[in-house]
Amino acid sequence: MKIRKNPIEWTVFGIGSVLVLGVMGILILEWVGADQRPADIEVTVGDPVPSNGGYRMLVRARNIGSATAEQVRIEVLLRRGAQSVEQAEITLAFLPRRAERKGWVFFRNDPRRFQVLARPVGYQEP
Amino acid sequence: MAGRGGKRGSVAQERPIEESLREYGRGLAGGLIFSLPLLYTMEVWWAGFIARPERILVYLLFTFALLLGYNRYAGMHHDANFTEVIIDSVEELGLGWITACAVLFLLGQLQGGMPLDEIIGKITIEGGIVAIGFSVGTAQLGGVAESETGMGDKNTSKEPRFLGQLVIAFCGAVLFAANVAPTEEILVIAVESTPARLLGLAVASLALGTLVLFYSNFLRAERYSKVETRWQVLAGSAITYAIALLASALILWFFGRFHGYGLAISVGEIIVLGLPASLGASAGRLLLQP
Repeated sequence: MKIRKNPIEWTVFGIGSVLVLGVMGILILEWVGADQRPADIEVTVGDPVPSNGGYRMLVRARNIGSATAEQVRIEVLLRRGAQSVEQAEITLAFLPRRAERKGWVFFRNDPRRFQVLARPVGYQEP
Repeated sequence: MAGRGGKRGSVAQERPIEESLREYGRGLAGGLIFSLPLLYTMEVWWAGFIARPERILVYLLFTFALLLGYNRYAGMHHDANFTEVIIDSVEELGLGWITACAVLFLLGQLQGGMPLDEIIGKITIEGGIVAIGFSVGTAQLGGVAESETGMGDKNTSKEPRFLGQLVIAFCGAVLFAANVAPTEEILVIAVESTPARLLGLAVASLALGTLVLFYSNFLRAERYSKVETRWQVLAGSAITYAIALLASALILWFFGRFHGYGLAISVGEIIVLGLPASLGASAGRLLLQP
């Protein structure tokens, strides 16, 4: 049984094999190494930047769990002591596992004069 | 074969380079024609990061099996030996992924900073359908002269028998149904439909399949679904619809469309998707013949 393939077909086959085996290898590794933890979200904020008479702040949300989160609500509070002065919120459509998504929140007050508290409020399982 | 024609049988010949390149060109066109609706559908991008690795692995193996089946029974080199069928399938899968990767990048769905499993998930899922389109395009979109000058003996395996027909019908069903399966609409229709309406859909799907296969003089229909008795018409239609439902269920399962819904709604979804699948298993099957 002889195989009739010319060099270009062998080349494409070579690239294809590497891709197929590589992707299968990664998927198997992920599968074996995957824990069944639900999505867990870590939120950090950047430095405030003056904008339009107010301030905006970069919000980074990272999913450190091993499942994807949908409709992730993130809340950022400016607080003085126990009292909340101003609050902003963003919603991320999706936050895939191990992924990071960015968003911006706006404040009228200068966040530097307050305590900034950023936290995920909730999400939906897809 | 062009080039060194005349010889056949045991003497193995390579395809000329230009011929291979033309085949890849057709494959690219076919791959895009069949998969573009999916490359432009956000539910499919989402599946790339929602689906767990084991599910993507199952999808990958399923795609490969489908490619093997199509290449074996209806592919460009369907008279090739099994090793060559495997090689063709690997080539098409690789090319399908590369194409999917390029298109997804142009659509802004692959970006730096994305985690590796999101990228791999998206490319594997989109690329699988592109690969099947590649295979179909290579085989079906060629000029008459080229596709008729097959290699080797024309009398063997030119018209696939029962098993081959099942495989081709299944490919047709998957190709047609996959275009609408990932959308939310299937679920919405299934949830809102009354049992009577679902029954109506099922009857319509069966009737459509029967019409295409037996009563409309559809392209190549008489060659592949020639029958003598009413019983054969009934059996042929029933088998076609059964294949359509199976394909429909498999695709819906992959996109997680059964998750958290009861049996009644899941069955409803299968029937709703069964209509396009049935069209694929009948009309699609006739169009995909070698």
